[in-house]
Order: sequence, then C-alpha cells, then structure tokens
Amino acid sequence: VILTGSEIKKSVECGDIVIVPFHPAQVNPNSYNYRLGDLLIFKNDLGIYETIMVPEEGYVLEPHRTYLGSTDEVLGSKQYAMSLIGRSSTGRLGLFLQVSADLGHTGSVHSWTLEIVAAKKIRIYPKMIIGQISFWENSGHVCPYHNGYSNYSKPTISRYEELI
Amino acid sequence: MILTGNKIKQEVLSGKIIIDTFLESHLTTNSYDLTLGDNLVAYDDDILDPQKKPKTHTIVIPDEGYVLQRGDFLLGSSKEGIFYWVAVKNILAVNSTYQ
Repeated sequence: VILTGSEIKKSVECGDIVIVPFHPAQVNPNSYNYRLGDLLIFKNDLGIYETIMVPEEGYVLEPHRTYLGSTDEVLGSKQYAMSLIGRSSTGRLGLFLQVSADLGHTGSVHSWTLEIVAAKKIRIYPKMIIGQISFWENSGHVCPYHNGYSNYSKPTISRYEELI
Repeated sequence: MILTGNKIKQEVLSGKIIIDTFLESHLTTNSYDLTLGDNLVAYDDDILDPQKKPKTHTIVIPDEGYVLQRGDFLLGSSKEGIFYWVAVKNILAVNSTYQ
C-alpha cells in the first residue's frame, strides 16, 4: 500500500516519517517532492572523481556521464519503505535519477545520494525540485536497515569493492 | 496491490478505467499494452534549462517508420487515452513545473 499525500503529512507530524526541512507545498497525491543538494561528484576526463559545488547560476550536465548528487532534505522512515524516483517534469527533459536502484530500505534516514544521468545537456540549479519520494507500508516483520549508504548524508561513491 | 488483466477488463466494462481505444487482445497478465502515437517531439536547444520554456519541433512518424539515432532524446505518447475515474482529479492537480 502506498501512502497518500495527506498520510505523508500526518506521518511527518507524528514522527513516523522524517522530512527536514518539510514544506507542505511539496506534497503530491502519492509522494513528496525533494530538492537537489549543493554538491555533485563525477569522474572527470582523467578518470578522477571531482566534487563541485553547484553555483547559483546553475551547472550544465553533459550526456554520457554519471553524476552523484544528494537530496537537500534529510529523508527517511523507520516505519515505511521508500522509493526515490525522478519527476515526470524533469524526465521529459531527459534528466534521469536512480535509474536502476530506487528502493529506500526501511530504517534509512539521511540525505540520499542521487544517481543522475542526462540524455541531453541540461542546466541544473542548487535546491531545484528534482525528484519525488513515495512511502510504502511493509508486509511482514521489519528488520531496519543500519548499514551501507544510509550512514552518509552527502553524495557518496560506490563501495562495491567492499562487497567482494 | 496491482490489478490483473481480468480485473482491468472488468473495470473498463464498468467504466472505472477508460482506455480509448480498448482492444481485448492488448490485455496482459497485469497490464495493458499501449501503442505509440503518431507524433514525436524533439528539443531544439543545445542546452536545456528547466527555468526556460524549451524550443521544440514535432516529427510525424511516417508509415514506413522513423529511425531513432543513438543519443536521440524524443518524447512520444500513447495513442490511447487512459483514465481512472478516481485518479483524474489527482492527475490534473499534479504540477508540472518543468514541462
């Protein structure tokens, strides 16, 4: 079962969902619109990770490159599972988020790393609304997620090698 | 919860779901197959800017087909109109700031 916007608002008020800062105007019928944080990480042409601060006048993303950003908000829940997806409004501009990994495990509460890919050159701005998060009721006993990337609150590169 | 194909058909017959044009052969186990509409929209701007209205042009897909080039980004649409009566007002309420 997916939560409605009014249920998301109620859950924020009672603490079952964390959204900081929370603006009621960003609530949708089944999700909450989150904003892009200030930092971006990407591999430059030399193959070295670079971190930049997105300036007020915006920053142009190049196609064929993966950028890591983060949500400006701290988002999460110990009660509900989450999906972090893009918005149709940005998808229509060829800006894609969390293309293959959009599941947020129950228990994760942090600023989420966003995997960003642009199909065309596009200018992005700090704190622009870039995606939406939905909340889902769990079926079964919940073993909250403590590990992995949920300990990080800024764009965080893959730690895949630690899994091997 | 997700609707089965049979349930989708029932809801179409009862008018709760509107699929225009509805063809029973397009029903699948948990979905309905959509067909591609005739028009594509392409962006003309070199750099898209969500704060500005983009320039676009429309491509009419000819009967013999249209070849997508690697790296193209185009918008198409379903030929069918789809509505779920309780959802219509919600869909209309969703803001689409960057469209």
